[in-house]
Amino acid sequence: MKRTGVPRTGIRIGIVIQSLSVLALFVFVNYLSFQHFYRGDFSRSQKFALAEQTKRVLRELKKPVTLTVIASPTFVSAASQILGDVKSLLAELQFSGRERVVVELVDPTRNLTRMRELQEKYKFNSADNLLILDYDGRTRLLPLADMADFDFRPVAQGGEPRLLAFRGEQAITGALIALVRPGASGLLYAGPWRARSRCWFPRRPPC
Amino acid sequence: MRRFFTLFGREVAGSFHQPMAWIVLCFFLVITGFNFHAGVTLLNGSSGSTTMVEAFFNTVYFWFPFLLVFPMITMRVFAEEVKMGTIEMLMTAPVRDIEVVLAKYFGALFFYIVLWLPSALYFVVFQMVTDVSAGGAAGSYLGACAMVVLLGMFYCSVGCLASALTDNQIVAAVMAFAAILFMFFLGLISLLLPGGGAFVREIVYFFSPVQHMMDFSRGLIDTRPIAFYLSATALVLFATYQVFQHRRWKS
Repeated sequence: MKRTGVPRTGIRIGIVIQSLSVLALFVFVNYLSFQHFYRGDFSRSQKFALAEQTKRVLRELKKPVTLTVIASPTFVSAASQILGDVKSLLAELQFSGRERVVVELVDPTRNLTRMRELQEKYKFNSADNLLILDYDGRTRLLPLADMADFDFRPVAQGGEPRLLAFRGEQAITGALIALVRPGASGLLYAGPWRARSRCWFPRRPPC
Repeated sequence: MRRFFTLFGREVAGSFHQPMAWIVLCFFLVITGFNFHAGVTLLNGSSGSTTMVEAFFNTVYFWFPFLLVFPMITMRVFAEEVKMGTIEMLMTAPVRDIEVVLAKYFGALFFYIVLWLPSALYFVVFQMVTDVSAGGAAGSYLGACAMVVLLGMFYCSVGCLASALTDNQIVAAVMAFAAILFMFFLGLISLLLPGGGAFVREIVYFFSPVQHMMDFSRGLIDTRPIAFYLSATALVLFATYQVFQHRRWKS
């Protein structure tokens, strides 16, 4: 007698093929989105958008540049106010520079061993809010306090210094140019700093 | 489409007839209210450039109820139908399986969006009382809202899959919570691998809801998380559909 039941084997094969196809499509879509993505700054201040000059400097990097931030949120310092902005800026530099920008955050209150290593390597004594740029054996030390303008008048009344402007990108790009082109002048910027950045990031080179 | 909307309406009505829905709504409002208060306190004490939207969407008080709410919303979606024996009615009704799965999914998503609606008032009140923009720019509001919806879409689909896999609501909730928590912590691997290269960093960013929410609430819009959450939602819904269909072939 001929069987007239549900063709289970056929259904199973169909489901396996469907599942593999959907999985392959998922991987393909995410691979494409990972390779070609768009990152735009829609914030009011545009402070997360990198200037064209910064991107140009990042493109010029032949070797990875290491940016080491030595800071702790527990430090009582005016620079602690801009720690979040500094971290955001470094993240944007990483997104733009990709494998050419290496960022390390060191909290001296938590990682004393690493702090000592850095002090020995870069020969500095201060443990307070510092950015070290290391490119091809050349180094620059930037105090975080130099990356912003503060109004210190409230300190006289027992208050905290008031942040007036964050100039982190300017300071870091200036230091990067000095490292990449050792003979270049310190005066670097003529264009607007908050130029709107909306571009497609190909895998290589970064825009 | 008419059948889908009938099922969707039934699902939404069913959600609001459950006491659990109102408990979840109250629990969620209390914790988000507390989160908002914590955000205001933080802004009062800081002189940095953090906005209210950033302070609200990037704290542990935000993530705690956020991750907990999905198992509660979705645990009953399929498991209850199986337990009550109404799943057979659904499977023999003149509706397609995909319509059932999508109606249940969108019903859960609708409830999730309703959960968030009262929280939008916080920012309106904040702006009216302080005369300070809560987000700084429309990009921050839209980015944060977009990420809340995208994460909600994905986690609701995970919850629906967990509910379709078992007949027990508690087991469904535990499975959904474990899966969501696993994906949440996957994005925190960078804390364990601080020395990872650019590729590891970008892969971790790809899966990190904390990073995504941080960026989007600042107004930084990245297409990678959008593509990831939409495609992952579609993938998980496809798996849910297959699990739902499996019951038909099994019987």
